[in-house]
Amino acid sequence: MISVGKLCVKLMGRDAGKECLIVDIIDKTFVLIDGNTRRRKCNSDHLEILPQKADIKKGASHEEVVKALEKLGVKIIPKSPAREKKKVEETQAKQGLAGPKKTKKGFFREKEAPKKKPLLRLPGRKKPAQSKTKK
Amino acid sequence: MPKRKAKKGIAKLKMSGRPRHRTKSLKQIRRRIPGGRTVIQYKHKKHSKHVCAVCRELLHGKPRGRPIEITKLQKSKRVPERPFGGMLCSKCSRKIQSLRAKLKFGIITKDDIPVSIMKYVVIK
Repeated sequence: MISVGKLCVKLMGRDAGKECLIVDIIDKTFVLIDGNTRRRKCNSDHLEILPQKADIKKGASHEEVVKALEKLGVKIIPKSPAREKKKVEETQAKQGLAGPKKTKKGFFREKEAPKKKPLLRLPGRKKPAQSKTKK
Repeated sequence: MPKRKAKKGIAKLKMSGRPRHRTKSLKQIRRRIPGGRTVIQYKHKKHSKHVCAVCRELLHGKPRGRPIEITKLQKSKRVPERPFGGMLCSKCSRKIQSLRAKLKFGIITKDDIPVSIMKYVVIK
């Protein structure tokens, strides 16, 4: 019944309803799955095993699994772009490729902070005399 | 002179003068305060318990309380993360997911699905 390359649908957890392939059999109860789900260990009771089977080797990579799923006619759900963008930014930051982060200070460095205008003083008026301290 | 204590069951309770308390949507609790008087305290009623939409079993992992209490919780603590979480129990959701998979890959037809869970299985 359970063999490497079998098409399954996950029934439990946050990946429920997503298609996957069995990549490896760990023991009596657990298998390694990959596909639209995360690549993870899974109890075989939590899978709906379908008759379709793909030709993949034991321990196949994620890319190989995706190709095999496409051949079986399963629609691949791409990861959300926001997460990928975040990952790229993180990797760039680690490598030092990314530029400095945009902050308020950084913004003013390029354009220089606007200078405050001096207060208008009428010609007739004088500065108020400073109060002298009593000795 | 010692303080006169109100006897149990004798103290007459009056409704509070505040108009906002003159409603049955608040729960009235009779409570004896340290001074010896019995007063009516008002509390918001709790919501009903959450049940499965198919089998009416009590749901786990769905906190009971007023909306303001639930919004203060973490997002992951408000509702189970699986599809149909907080709506169906785990047994029913498992049944529905397996039927959905079988229907998608042509193992069963629509006629094999019970009417009570048809709306969850068939995707429009």
